[in-house]
Amino acid sequence: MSPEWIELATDRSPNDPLAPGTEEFRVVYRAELPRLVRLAHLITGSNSAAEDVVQDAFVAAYRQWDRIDDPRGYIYRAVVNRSRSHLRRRRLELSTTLDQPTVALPPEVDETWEVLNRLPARRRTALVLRYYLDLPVGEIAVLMDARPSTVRSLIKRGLESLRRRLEP
Amino acid sequence: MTDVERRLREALETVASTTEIAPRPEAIVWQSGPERRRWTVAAAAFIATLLAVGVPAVFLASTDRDPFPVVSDVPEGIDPGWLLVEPDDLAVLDALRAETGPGGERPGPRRSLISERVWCLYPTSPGSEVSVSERISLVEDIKVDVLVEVCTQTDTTPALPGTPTVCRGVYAESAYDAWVESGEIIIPEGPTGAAAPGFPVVLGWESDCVSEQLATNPQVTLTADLSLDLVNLVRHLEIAVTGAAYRNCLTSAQAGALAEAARDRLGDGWILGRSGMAPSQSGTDCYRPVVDLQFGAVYVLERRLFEEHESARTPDLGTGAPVTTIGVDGR
Repeated sequence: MSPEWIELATDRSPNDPLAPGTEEFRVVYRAELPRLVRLAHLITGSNSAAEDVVQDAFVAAYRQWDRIDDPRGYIYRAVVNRSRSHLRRRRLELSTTLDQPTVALPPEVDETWEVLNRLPARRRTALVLRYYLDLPVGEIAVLMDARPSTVRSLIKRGLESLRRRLEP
Repeated sequence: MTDVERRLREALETVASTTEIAPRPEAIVWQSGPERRRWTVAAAAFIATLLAVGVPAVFLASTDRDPFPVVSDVPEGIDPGWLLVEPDDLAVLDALRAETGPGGERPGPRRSLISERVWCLYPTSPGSEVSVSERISLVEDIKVDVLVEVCTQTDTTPALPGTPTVCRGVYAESAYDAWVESGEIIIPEGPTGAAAPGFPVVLGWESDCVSEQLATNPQVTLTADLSLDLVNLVRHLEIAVTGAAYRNCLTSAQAGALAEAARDRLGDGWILGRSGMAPSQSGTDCYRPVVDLQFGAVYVLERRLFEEHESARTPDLGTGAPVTTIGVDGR
């Protein structure tokens, strides 16, 4: 996402040294972008959608940067929520097609990835946050706006679903 | 760590390592040099492809981004038949089969409709969302026994003490507000707060019909003779407008008019809006109304892949089951 693009998408320019929060925004953006895109990719199942999701989240954050107390937390919540919205939208479009992987995956990984992508969105999101980001249940609950007990149940049932489909 | 957890971690790390983090087209447009030229070439190739496959003029004209159109009682530019379920609609939906693999090499079951989804609430676990799409054909109405069956025979069904109860759920106002705030839908007049309640059909087992996204008030507990007329009416409209959209690459104005006509069939309580999601960057250009039973809304999607449109608009009509035209009032 270039500075020019930010300028077009908002009424503020990150090139403007007087724009409040500009440098902090740049720092967060540069530091978190790759990890966020990978996270969104794993939740949405789509590399291209992940880029959309993360870009939208950063634009939304930039518009209210001065009012955000916890920028990283805000961005992560925004990416998780938008990724889940994308999944809902994908269901509305009657589409369950995944992106074609850019590289061939090992058979076992390919099978696991395919099964993971067939799980309900909330279970999948919980599993990705737990097993990719290694977040504790409490933090996952905050990101997913759910109770910790619900998150534990989602993870448990998600693993059960994977086990049923993967184990002989 | 169990074997499943190990496999999961490995899969997530491997797929994440393949994630490409490329420059955004929106940004590239404003840059000079090779990146811009590459996208220009890609755009030219895309247009050439459209021309080569004989895209209808209406498709090429559908790049307008007009505000949601205000139409009269008889919307111009739409065919009244688009609100009826016709054999071609069924063939289109049948052709839109889910793909179970990344390459789509193994066709799955027919894709489910929103109005075919059922929330199953179990007493000892979170609810799960399932669909009756694999249990009934497109020409059969949804009945209570099918709802019970689909919730009691899933592979994740826990033990079910007591007798299933069919309930009618409504979305909590907070869930509706969150939907609007997420930007997924834009309502021209703004949130009404008087939206028609969605009707996700919910099953509870000797419990009330409550879940995270369902309101407790009003809560209507219904019996096996529950009338599902509204659910089936919505389903008919969903089939009809989806079929129409895939058979006719609708312009923004046409999709808006069709959405409004569908909303009029459902009643003023239904929300009329547009998708708030950004248009896709490639291949888009047909518009599609969505009849959303869960939120009581009809709105227009602004992006759909051209390739999908092409494959669905020319289904093999010879493979579909014999069907008859069905009116939205069920006649």
